[in-house]
Amino acid sequence: MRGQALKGHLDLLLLAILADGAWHGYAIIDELRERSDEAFDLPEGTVYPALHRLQKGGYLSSEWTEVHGRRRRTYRLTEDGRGALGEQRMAWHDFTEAMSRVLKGVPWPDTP
Amino acid sequence: MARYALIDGYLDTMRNEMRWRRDLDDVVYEMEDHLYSAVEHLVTRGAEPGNAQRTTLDRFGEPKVLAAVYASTNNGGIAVPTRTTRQAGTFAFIAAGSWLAAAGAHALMTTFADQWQVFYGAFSALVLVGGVFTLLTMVGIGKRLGGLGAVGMIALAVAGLGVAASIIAWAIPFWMGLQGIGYLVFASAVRSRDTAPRPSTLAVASGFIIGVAVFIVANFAKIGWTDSYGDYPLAWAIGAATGLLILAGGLIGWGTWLRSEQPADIDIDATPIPA
Repeated sequence: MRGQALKGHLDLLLLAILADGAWHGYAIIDELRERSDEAFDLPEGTVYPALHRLQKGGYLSSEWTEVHGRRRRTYRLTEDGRGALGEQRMAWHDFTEAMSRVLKGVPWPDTP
Repeated sequence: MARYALIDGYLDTMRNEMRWRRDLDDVVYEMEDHLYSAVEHLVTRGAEPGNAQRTTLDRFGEPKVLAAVYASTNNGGIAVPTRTTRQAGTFAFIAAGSWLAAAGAHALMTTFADQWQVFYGAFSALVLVGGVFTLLTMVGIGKRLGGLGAVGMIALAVAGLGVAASIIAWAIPFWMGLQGIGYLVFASAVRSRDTAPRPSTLAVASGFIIGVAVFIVANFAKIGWTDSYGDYPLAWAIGAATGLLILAGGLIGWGTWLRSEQPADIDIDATPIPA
């Protein structure tokens, strides 16, 4: 899926990945790609500004550790982040339900 | 840890593209960890190191585009230093000089009461010049921060009204108070971006407020002599000097910051994906 199609949904996806525990950036992106069966394959560098924005908003916390001689930042969901995940997930559910109701019964286009 | 020349070259490029960031080291450390992890992962799976680096960098993104994404704000602006913002730094110095000179003119007005009209004229003119250049500085700071939204525009309008009204050279303290409100609101918006030097922003926000507070205390304490209006000129002078010195200090800090940043060379037309 093209990155632009993910615009506006990236925050929810990142919060959802981090609901399982603390992850560093590379692992988050890898997990995002794996869970979506490689459908969500966006320029990896663009995920970090989103993580920073979520942290600035108080939805994530982070800490630095040293791994293999490199500094590594690990992100974790905060209580506010967990709340935001619940709200955004519910909104997404309502949205997809409504879309499905509208699209139900509309015939699929003929494949060329 | 094995070093990879292509990755290191890319990191150097990113350092240069985002050289104005205060958290540059953290951003680059995080990229370094990602890129090295990705290359090591591919090499472990049998990729040739050169190809692994190229694949990794291709997936990570173009440096200029990424720099724009990092600089993008929630309102869609791009917060980077430019030649305009550097010029705003010079305007900040001119504004600071004008405010300091205004404080001097006010002190002379108090000292040489028999020639107060001459010094009041100079004071009014300097307040006008200081106000105009402070407004230009604010516009530059707004651009540097990728726009400050409705709050920033309202603050500019309030401060601008105060500056425009001071042209009449009458009731100057009142119009300066209006400017002070504009500066306070503007500096609050600047503070929320956490990019400009905090002490300078605090000084711009609080200068006039502290000046007014000092005046009120000095007036209440009946410091000095009274003039024909029953006012205490020394209280006015102390309040004005305090407020203007603090404001000038803040503007010098802003000017130093804006002048210190090299204009960016990023792709400002890039469309960032995170929103």
